[in-house]
Amino acid sequence: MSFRIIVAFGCFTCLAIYLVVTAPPPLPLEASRAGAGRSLPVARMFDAVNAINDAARATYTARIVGPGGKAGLKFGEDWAEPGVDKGPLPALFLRLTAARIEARPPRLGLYLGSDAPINASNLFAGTQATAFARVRATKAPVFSTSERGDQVAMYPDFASAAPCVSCHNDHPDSPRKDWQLDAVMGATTWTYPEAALNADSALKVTEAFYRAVEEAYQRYLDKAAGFAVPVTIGAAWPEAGAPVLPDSATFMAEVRARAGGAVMRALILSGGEGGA
Amino acid sequence: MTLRRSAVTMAIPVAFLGAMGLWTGPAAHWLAQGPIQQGHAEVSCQGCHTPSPGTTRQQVQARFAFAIGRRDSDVDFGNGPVTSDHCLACHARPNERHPIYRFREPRFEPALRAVRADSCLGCHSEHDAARVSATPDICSACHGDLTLARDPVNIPHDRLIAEEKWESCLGCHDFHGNHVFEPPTRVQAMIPGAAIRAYFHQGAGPYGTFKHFEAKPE
Repeated sequence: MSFRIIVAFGCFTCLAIYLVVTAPPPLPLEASRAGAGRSLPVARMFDAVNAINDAARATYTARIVGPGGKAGLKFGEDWAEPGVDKGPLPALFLRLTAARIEARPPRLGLYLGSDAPINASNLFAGTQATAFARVRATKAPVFSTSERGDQVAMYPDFASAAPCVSCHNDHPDSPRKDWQLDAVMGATTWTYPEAALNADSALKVTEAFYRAVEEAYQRYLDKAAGFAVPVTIGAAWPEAGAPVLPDSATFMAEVRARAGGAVMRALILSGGEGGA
Repeated sequence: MTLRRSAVTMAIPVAFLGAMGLWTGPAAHWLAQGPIQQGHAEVSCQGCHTPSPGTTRQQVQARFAFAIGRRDSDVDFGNGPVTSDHCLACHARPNERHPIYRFREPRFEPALRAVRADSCLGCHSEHDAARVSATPDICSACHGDLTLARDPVNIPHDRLIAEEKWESCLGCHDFHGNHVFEPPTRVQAMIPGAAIRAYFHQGAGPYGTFKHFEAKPE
């Protein structure tokens, strides 16, 4: 037997031992890591996270911005700048939440827009403008697929609280001054890369969105803690003469109470049927 | 033992030791594809290059299984791909003027064909000695129809846009909005294009040295 054959045989034997005989457990597949379970259309997950978003915005607008403004708290577009003692406007609270969800593994996208936005950068264009015309006409969500293959859902954004109407009608850059309560002021657009997801993933995305809301609110609390005139943070909600803020746990308990029913209907009681 | 056999016998341990040497810290810098940015001088390789799941053997196994059709998905060998998440771990800020997630909204799909603004890597690539790899006229991808109700500049924005003076945008506006910098109201006072381009290639910062938020340490 030649030396060359001995070396080749030795190398093959070593490789076989390395890859097969003493092999460690194989790496799990992505799908296995994600877990199995009932397949859920992505529309159901969109319904769930949109319900949470509605609850968070309604809570923030009606229980923080409205009464807080009367109690002396300030809210503005420049709230994030250092040295500015303000909180985020409701639209910016949504954007803050959207930024937090983007920082998490489930690649869920959330965007707010309108055909008459205060900030021109939020003006719908292209397929979103077409979809929004349907949303405004039907006041119901519209589902589609984007050019790059993402699943897209657009839900109407109603003027659900008095501060929505008054702020948009009074803002100098607002292109419309005749908003009324319950009008469709714009729409929230959601994107997700998969058309279906298993129950574990749906719950994971839902919980991640709750967490994103909590982190967004905590950002505001962190800012408020550094105001020149400190704001008391505890279990109480702001009201006339009391510029206080509820702590994160109190705020999230309210959000979960408002959204819980809709989330359960979307994820559990829908029976895994197609989207609306 | 012949000379040839002795050479082969010697070459095997030398090759083995050489391969082991590639795993050491100094070798990592030697193997890097190019110089890193000034601001990243103190960042370790692992700050951006995250090890893939599993051991080297498991990765070899998985790739071999994928190659012969015994596995549905491939795995990364050594390190996973560098993504915007690595950048945002240090550079995420509440005052970001152009957060990348916003460009994943469907209406920005046409703009993304011009500039991949949905990823930090669309404008910032590492190991090529440039702070910014995009061109200074990227604003044209989104702001072609910009008009201001109360334009504070002596030459209005819509006129600058009509004349396609896209390089002037960054002469007054810091793209990410993190520098303490007040935009001038006279176009004549804006930062010259040459200074902007020099900044893109590791030159001095034209927007001043003060920032609202510093990057988090690794």
